[in-house]
Amino acid sequence: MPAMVEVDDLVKHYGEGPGRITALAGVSFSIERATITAIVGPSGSGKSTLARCINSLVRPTSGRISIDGADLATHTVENRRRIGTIFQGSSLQRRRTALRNVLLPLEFAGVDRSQARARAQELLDLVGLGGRGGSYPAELSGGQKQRVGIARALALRPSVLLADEATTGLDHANRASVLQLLRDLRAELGLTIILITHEMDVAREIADNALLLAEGSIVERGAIRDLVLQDSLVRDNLFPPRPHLAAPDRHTYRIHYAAREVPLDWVARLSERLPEPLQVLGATVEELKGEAVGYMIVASTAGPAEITRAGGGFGLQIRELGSADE
Amino acid sequence: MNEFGLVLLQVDRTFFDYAELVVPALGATLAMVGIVFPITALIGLPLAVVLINTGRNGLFPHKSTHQVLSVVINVGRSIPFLILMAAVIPLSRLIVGTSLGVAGAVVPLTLASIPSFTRLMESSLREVPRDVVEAGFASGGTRWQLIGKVQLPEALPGLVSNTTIGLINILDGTAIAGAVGAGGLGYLALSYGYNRFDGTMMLICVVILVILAQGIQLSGDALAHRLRKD
Repeated sequence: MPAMVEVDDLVKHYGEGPGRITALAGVSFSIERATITAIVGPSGSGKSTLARCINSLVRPTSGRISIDGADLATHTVENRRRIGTIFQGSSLQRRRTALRNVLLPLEFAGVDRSQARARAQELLDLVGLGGRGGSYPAELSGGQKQRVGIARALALRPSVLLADEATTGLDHANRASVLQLLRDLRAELGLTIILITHEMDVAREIADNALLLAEGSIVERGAIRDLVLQDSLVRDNLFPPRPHLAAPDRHTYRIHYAAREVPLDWVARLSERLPEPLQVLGATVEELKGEAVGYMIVASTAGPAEITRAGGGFGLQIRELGSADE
Repeated sequence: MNEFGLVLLQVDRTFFDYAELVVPALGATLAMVGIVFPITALIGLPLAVVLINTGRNGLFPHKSTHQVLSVVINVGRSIPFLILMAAVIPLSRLIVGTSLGVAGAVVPLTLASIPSFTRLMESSLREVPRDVVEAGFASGGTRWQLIGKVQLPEALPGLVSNTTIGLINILDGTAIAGAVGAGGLGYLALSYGYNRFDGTMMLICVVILVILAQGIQLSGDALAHRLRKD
């Protein structure tokens, strides 16, 4: 079975001649079924263009995208219907009720009226807005509108759900509930979800894989859990260096760990193997799918070789911080 | 009717004398608006749809079509109506057989109102947020479906508001057309009220025109308000 999404050497230029802007400079990747992939990157990195190529809003200059084995360049309307897109903010029609907004793709596809209404109602129930079908977008909160947008994106039973900055601009509670809904959808419907976001936290909270774009190229890719345990930009973005205490007469180390692999009392056990206990200078720990992942800044009289030897077998990633570093 | 004696006899006019003149003139004005408006709307709205969708962010961008259309509309809009009326007399004779009366006014009035009406409709269509149309596209709509189910319905309150303005513009136009032989309330106001110093006639015509314009405006506003859901 082919991967759900395959992108092959995708290039997109805007404009022509010397003023030409390259938004995507040959991007290739594939996305497996029923996974959540976050495409992250700063603004101007090309992630938006990539999203717009995937949902056919932008025609690539060259390269190929296929969804479930079907080339996007052919049969465009049918292929567009294989991808449900959730947009940033409210892209709902103001003059259609929530129910009729969800009905729109079904009307486009020519689904029988009563069947379409039943389907739209079922989708509103799924996103937890079963009772608000008669409300206009102006009467809904930001989070509720986004849920209607999700229901609309699901109307034609797409195989891929593309969320383009879908949580940007939502407050914390609304964002959490939208993310929870996406997680549930993946579990219940086996959807393949692509999240385009500049918010690393969003990627951390729900994605399995990440793809980091910069200046139109992929600079990092892989399972998020692997990336946070390596020296990676994804990790640096998720765990930005923060100020910590200083211990001028000792070596200072940054130790990365993931709690599922590392004994929870690793600080105590590592201290036992060293001449003096470790001093904790700072720490950042975040939850990654139920697992504590993060780093500690510690000070020790032990040199790099000694501490690496002592920490061997704990699955820690130890790096000495120079005085110039951080 | 005594063309020359009326100036002196104006004070002696009765209510019925006025009614006898005003009622047919009102009928002529309404007839002009009633013929010109549907034709203008039928041509102007599709033109606006073409104009907006051949534009850069439209559904079927086509630079040359867009530019030609845009220039033609701008030229049409910049010709003063009075001059246009005189200039299209041969065309009027060709199409409706006369350049006088209601029939004669229909061709120049329609020609004059289409460009501005198109721009009015275009500006309403432009108010539909781009991401709403894009969401429709991503929802699997064809271009025609997007026009029919997204662009036009979303723009409807604005289209109604601006149609109100377009309708009043046409009413204005009929009054100007009256100056060059079209008949109607404008003609009455000018020929009796202005040329023959009949202040009462002038007042009657102005009041009726104001009532008509207000009626159009108020009902347009009310309808647009009812259609608006935000």
